[in-house]
This record gives sequence, structure tokens and C-alpha cells, in this order.
Amino acid sequence: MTRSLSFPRIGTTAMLFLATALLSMSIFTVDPSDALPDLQLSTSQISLEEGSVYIDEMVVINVTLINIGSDDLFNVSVGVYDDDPGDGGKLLCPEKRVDVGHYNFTLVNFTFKAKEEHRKVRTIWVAADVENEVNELNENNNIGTAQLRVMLRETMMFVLTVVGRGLLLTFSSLSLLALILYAVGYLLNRFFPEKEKEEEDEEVLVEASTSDASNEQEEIAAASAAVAAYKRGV
Amino acid sequence: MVNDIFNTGLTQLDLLTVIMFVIGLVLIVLAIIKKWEPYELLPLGVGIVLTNFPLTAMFVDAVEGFGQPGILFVLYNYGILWTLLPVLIFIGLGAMVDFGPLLADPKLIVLGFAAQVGIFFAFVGSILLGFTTGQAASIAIIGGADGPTTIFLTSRLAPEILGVCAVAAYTYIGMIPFINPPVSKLLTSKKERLIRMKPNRTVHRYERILFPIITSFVVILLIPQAGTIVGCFMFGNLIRESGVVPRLSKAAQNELTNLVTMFLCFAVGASLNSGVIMDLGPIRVLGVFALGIFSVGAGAAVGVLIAKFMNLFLKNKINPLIGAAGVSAVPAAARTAQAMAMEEDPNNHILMYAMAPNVAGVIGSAAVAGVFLGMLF
Repeated sequence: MTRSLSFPRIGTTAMLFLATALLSMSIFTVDPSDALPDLQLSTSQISLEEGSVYIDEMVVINVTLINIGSDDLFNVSVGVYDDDPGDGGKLLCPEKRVDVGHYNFTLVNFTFKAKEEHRKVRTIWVAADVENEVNELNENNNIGTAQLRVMLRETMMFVLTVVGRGLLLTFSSLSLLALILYAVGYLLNRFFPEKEKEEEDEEVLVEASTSDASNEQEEIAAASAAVAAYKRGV
Repeated sequence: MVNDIFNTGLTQLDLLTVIMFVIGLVLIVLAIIKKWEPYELLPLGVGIVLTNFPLTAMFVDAVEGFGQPGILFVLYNYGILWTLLPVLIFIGLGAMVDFGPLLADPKLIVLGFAAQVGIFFAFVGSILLGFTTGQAASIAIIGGADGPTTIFLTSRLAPEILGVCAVAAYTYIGMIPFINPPVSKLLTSKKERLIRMKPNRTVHRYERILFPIITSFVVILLIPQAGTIVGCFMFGNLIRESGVVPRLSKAAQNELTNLVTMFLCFAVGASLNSGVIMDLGPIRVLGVFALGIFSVGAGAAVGVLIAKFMNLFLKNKINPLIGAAGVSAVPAAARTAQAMAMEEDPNNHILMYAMAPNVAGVIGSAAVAGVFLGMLF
């Protein structure tokens, strides 16, 4: 069975190109007098081999670490977490230690097994130098995320559960809706039986008849006055 | 000079790209000549054609585009993957739908549910054919005959088959007048098709206003994942029925719906490039289309059968043809039921009755999409 990716992947070639482009830009923008390393890690530098995996399958994450600083980096830690490491995120696999030369980049791979507790869509965090062991030009560009979907195997039991639950929930919500609508319709029509419309119609009729009547009376009165005046010889 | 020729798109054309051009052009022709869902198929076809032109980089992300994403990718990413456009469509749809016939006879809601049963048949069928659960749900929801719901669900569960599912959904919505009649005829007798239904009662204005509010509470509380679709749908309907914002109602029904539909279908078409088809494989693409039509047909069939079943207990019989209108293609499915009834008896007008399961189908498919999201996302 083939399985397609659920999230767009960033090709390694494209990441390498990005790394090179960022490095070439940094060469011209960093002041050589600031002899400090600067590790750069962002979401665009993280890619998953497979965006969707089944439980118990291996998840492979490729990370491109770039040092845009003018000094080399040694023994810097990089880890993959199930949540924000600054907010209690736990390591999904052992941390790695890497060296990155100045104006250079290095590729790191992480592998871990997708487990039941990772089910559904997860945000995977990749962070470098979490303990802040390295003095850098910019300490705020060491973290990135990737989206991973961990799925249950399509066992017939699971499929039947989805179908059964789906049928039950859809049927119950629509049936309940129908019952409530019956009740609302019944109550409204019992206590306000098309009152508004009938009353409005009646009001219009009454208005029309009174205005007709008053006009008629005026006309009669005018005609009587004219007849009386004629009789008087005016 | 020779180099210039090698730098043109002409040298980059391959068979699959040409096939994609043909598919796009066929959709454009269907929209213009056959007038099949032209508001959807025209931008869809143009999107497919544009995205497949070689060397244009219109559908590349920021990394591949060296910092500059292609315009079609921007539309797709923010409009579809962020599910902004399908959700906006529901506001427009809500403003367009008249729930009066449904409120006049609420039991017909059940027919809207019945048609959704076909979705679950197709879901199991797709799994058996080797699709993942997410893909299977996305293919099955095509049976709801509701384009925006299909796009909404597929963009979450299986974005890799979004373009194929959207094209299948809109094609089958256009084909409802051809799919439903044979299914309905097969499952009903002439006597049943001749059934005349009792005139509907008048619906109170307050019922119309309360309906979107009650529906939101009931459906969203039971199926929270359907909240986005149902909430927006009912918001649009409240705009319409409240009667206090006529300009908003008019704008939602016309300008909003037209513009969003155009961008939605354009972006979906743009996602259907030859690379996606190559990744998925032509056999699986055909599989999506086959399962999609099965899902629509099965939905109509179950609707008709449930209507017949209800007749066993009802004093005032319902014409089972309206059961097939439970697939939510509004109003094509209801019109098809009306045409079939008039074929048998030119004076039998069942359109208003058929609109009830038709609009209930929209709520039903939104609920099913919510269930799939809750269990599979």
C-alpha cells in the first residue's frame, strides 16, 4: 500500500540551497569584529522523511543547522521534543552534539518510533542549545517546528468503530434536531398561530375600510352640500 | 537562438502535463458548453491549466521559489490548507438556503441523514481498496455531493488528494440529474412515484430565526468538530432570516459566495499538477472517481429506501423520490426529484418537499465531516 505525505516536504536540496543562500548573505552582513558564532535553526530547516506515519513506524527528521556567525561552534546540543522545550516538552530521542564551522552548515538526522501517545497531528519541536551553553550573537533563532501525523493502522475494528460512531452521532444529532424543531414549531404555532401575519392583514383591512368609509362619508357630505346649495339657488 | 528555444516551456512538456491540460480544458468546455456547475468548473479548469504550464513556478513554496512563493501556492496555502475559503463559502451558502420546507415537516430531516449512510459505505470500500483512513474519508465525503465540505475535510485529512477529490465532487454535483434518476427508478414502483404529498403548513417567522440557533447548539454540542462548518453555515442563515441586515444577506448570497467560489476552485485546480497525479498514480486517481460516484449513488439509494421504510408507518405517505434529494447538492438534487415526479404525473409538484431532505443533507454531510475529523485528524 502506498502512502502519500500529508504535509508538504522540503527537499534536502532546497534546504541546502537555503543554507548556502543564508550563509552568503550573512558573510556580507555580519561585522567581522563580532567574533561570535550564531547558530540558526528555523522551521524551514526541518524536514520529515514522512509527514504521516503509522503507530510503531520510525519517524526520521532531517535538520540543517547553520552557523551564520564568524566563529566556529563546538559540541552544541540539538534535540527533538514533543512540545515546546521551554514549556515542559520532553525529548523524543537522545540529544545529539554537533560542531558547525563559521559560515557553514551541517546536517543532523534524528529517528524515533511513533507511539500511541503521539497519535493525531503533532507539532514536533527541534531546538538547539536549549541550556544556552554557547554564547551567540543571536540567542533567539535556535528553534523550529514540524507537523507530524501519527495514524492508527486501518484495522477492521477501527474502521467499524469509525462507521458505527459516525452513524450513531449523525443520526442522533439530526433526530434530536428534528424533535426540537417539532416542539418549537408546535409551541410557536399554538401560542402565536400566525398571529403577526393575520393581525397585520386585519389591520391593513381595517385601515383600508375606515379610510374608504371616511372618504365615502366625505364624498356623501360634499354631494349633499352641493345638492342643498343647488336647491337654494346658489 | 537554439538556447532560447530550450529555455521555453515547449521543451519541458511531457505526456502527463499534456493530459492535465486536456483535463483542465475538458472542465472548461463542460462549464461553457454543457453549463455543468460553471461557477465551479470554470475556475477549476483554468487553475489546472495554469498550474501545469512548465517553468512558471506559480505553484512553488517559498523555499523552492528562492524566497518568493508562487501566487497559486499562496492562494492554495492560505485559502485551502488554512481552510479559510471553504469556511467562508458556508456563510454564503447559509444565506442562500431556505429552511422553510424542512421546518414545515421536520421528520424529513431523517432523509438527509439517510443519504449520508452512503458515505460510510464508500469509506469502508475505500479502506478495502487500500486507501489510508484519511484518504478514504475524503473520498467518501464526495457522496455528500457538497463541494465545500469535501474540500474542507480533504484539506485536513488528505491534502495530497485534494485536487482530485474536489474535481470529482463538483463533477458529480453536475451529474446529479444523470446519477439519481436510474437509482430512484430502480428502487421505486410507478405507484410510489405517483404519490402526492399533503401541502406544507406555513412556517412561523420565529421558527426560521430560531432554527440556525437551535441547530448550532444541537449539532456543535454533539459533534464539536463540525462546529466550524455548521457554525458558519448557520451564521449565514441567521443573517438571512433575521431580516435586520438585508445588505449583509444580499452580499453574502452574491458577492461573497461568487468571489470565494472563484478563488476556492481556482486554488483547488492549481493544486492538481502533474506531479501530484504522478505521486498518487493514475489507477488511484481513477479509484477516487469510481468510489466517489459509488458514494453519491449509494447515498441516493439509501435515501429512497429510508423514505420507503418511513412510508410503512406514515398515514400521509411521502413520495420516495425525495429521499434521493438527501445528497446535499442544493438545489440540483431536489430539482431532479421534481423532474422525475413530473415525468410520471405532470401535475405532481414535489420540489418544495424535496428541498427539505436536500437542505438537511447539507447539515448531515457537515456532521459526518465533523465525525471524521474528530476520529481521524
